[in-house]
Amino acid sequence: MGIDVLFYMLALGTIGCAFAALFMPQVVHGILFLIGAFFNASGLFLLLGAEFLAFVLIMVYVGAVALLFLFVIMTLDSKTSPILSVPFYKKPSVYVGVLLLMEMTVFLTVQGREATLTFSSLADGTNNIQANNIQALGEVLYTHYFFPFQLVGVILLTALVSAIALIGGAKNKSKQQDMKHQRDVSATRRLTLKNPPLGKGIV
Amino acid sequence: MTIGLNHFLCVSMALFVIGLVGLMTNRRHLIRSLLALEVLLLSVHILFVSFSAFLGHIHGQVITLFVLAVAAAEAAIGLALLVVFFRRRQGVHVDQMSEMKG
Repeated sequence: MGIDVLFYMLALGTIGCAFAALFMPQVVHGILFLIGAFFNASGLFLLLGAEFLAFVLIMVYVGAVALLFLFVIMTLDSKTSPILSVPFYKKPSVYVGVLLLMEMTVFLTVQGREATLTFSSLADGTNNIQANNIQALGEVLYTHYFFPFQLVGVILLTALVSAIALIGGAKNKSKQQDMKHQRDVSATRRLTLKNPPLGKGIV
Repeated sequence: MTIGLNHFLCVSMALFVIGLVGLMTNRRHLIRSLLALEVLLLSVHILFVSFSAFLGHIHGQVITLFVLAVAAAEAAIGLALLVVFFRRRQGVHVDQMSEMKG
């Protein structure tokens, strides 16, 4: 029973926070709710037995992505804009969403009868996920998925380089030594000799 | 009634619809579009992890890890593009992106 109540709380928290994240008038508040949605979703992951992914979700999304969003919003100082300038029943996207929701609900209720799996497969160890989630993940990740794992590293490196090149590489403000310019300097361009008269300065 | 696979699928479905409607509604605002993309990816994460847990294969969680990394890279590049666009146009509205028009 306790698990059920916990699941419903986390599910409602995730959905409500995700909804608020996209439809708050201020984008900063939306990011706060996005963080809440990620926390609730990581609770759902804990319920499912994926502990490593739950904590990685918090670390990556809350620690990196949400912070990045916050930095960008604070930097850009974008003004508050009304989300729905026209009433919501004139937006076609709302109809698409309702239609999609109905379709998926029908699909789930029709298909769900024979394909129901329960939590018991997690508890009694009949599956091939071991008790230690991180160990199981690492054993697959470093053997079977080794090449994709390396490729993900390359993707992250590409993202790092391109983000730095896009933001910082546009104009060169760093102080650098220009060897050719230094070598070509002659003494007459750097040094002028003055002979000030007595009692007066150089004007 | 115990919590089954369908419950998690319902959560994922609701998140996907919310993200899609948010993406279509906030099409003008780039930051909101990126936020909606994050919500869509979260729904996919929940889908992968729940199937991984209920079918008893760890591979779904490995895929989720990869998707997580790619999503982080996507967010970083998207926000960098946003900053560059803001520098050029002093605004983040998609309506102003009309340089390539005919």
